Amino acid sequence: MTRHEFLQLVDQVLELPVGTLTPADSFQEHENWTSLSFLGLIAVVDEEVGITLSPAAILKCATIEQLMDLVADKLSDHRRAA
Amino acid sequence: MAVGRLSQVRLAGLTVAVPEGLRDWHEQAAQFGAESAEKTAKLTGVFHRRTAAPEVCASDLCHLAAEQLLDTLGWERDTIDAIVFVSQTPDYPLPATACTLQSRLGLPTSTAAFDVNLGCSGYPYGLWIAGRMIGATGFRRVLLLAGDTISHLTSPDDPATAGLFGDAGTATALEFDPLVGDIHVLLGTDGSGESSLCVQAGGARHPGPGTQAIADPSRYLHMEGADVFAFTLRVVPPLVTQLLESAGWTLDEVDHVVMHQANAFLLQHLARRLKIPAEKLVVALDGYGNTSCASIPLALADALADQLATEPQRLLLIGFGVGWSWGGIALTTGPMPRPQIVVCSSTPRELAAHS
Repeated sequence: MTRHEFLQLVDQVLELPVGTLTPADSFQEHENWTSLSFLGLIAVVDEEVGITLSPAAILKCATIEQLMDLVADKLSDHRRAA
Repeated sequence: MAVGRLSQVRLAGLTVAVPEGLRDWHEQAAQFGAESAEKTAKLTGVFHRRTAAPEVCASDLCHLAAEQLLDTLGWERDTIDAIVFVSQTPDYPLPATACTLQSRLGLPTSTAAFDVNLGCSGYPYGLWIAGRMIGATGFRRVLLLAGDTISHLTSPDDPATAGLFGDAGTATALEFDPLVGDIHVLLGTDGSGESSLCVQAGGARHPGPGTQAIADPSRYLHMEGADVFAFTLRVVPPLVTQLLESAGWTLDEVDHVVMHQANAFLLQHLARRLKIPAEKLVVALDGYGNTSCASIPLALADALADQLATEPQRLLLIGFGVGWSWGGIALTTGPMPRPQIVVCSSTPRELAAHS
């Protein structure tokens, strides 16, 4: 999955038109971010990327860029372990 | 994960009692706004649920379920060797609610009785504990009573829990039978999750506030939904895979997968991840809500009553949640009396007078 595609997933989770968010945006401060979108984000990453993100780690991400870095780190750990 | 096996144990019957109080998601619409409440109800699958009046305890619902089950099976009370009450909403800090149920059910004083404090994983654990007591040189008949009134612990102001939980009590009859196949069991625990699903007050560590302190959040169930979700994704897929390996089954050979009825979104996500076909996944949330340790037997009675009454069924029963604690059971049921769901309209006093 490319970073661009990941960005579109976050748009989808926050129920926004594709292309709305940029990597510098804070997803947690968006008005559409709720406890349900928190679950939706974990679910969509689990389904599309194949990794389960820790909620605590997600909460530490100030921007979508940081979230993408978290996913990339976790994915490379996952591949090393496989 | 701890691996176990039960031999010569038959699941003889099952009855569920639910309270008559029927609740509807519109209550949450009034409290949290229609859009938010509807989204939550769609995600959880709970548009309606049943909750017990404040004076009705899990033991009352289990009592009714047990009375009905003993009648259905025609079991004499003096043939019961033990009762195990699984609940996180016992009648008292002490004595054990199982002791009160021995008396209320008119069981002989030779009955062994004790409580098990587990929630969402409680039914697989209860089957394992009750089943382990049964054998050629052990007990012959054991009643597993699993029930909770978690709705009494939820805050009406908490959108994460207010419309999700329902109440139910169940009775499951297990008996010695040298001719049945083995039941396979897997159990596990990760207590680092204690704060993610917790009622802080009321135990010995934080005794106060009393139930009168309505505004104090520590008396209510606190649930970190994202933590619960991530825990489940971490634990349940390997639990199911290892349970199938232990039983020597493939998923194709399983008739139904009955998981703890946490919420519909979670169950459907797990099913996709584990490639469980939709027709094998039991989702029985609407009408009842998440009923904690009662949810698996309730789902069996709600969704599979006809199948259980007519044909042998290969089942995976998967419990997971508060603790973190989890357990899985792989068993083949034989035909049993059709599992019933009875609606409890009696007060505890009326139930006591009836028994």
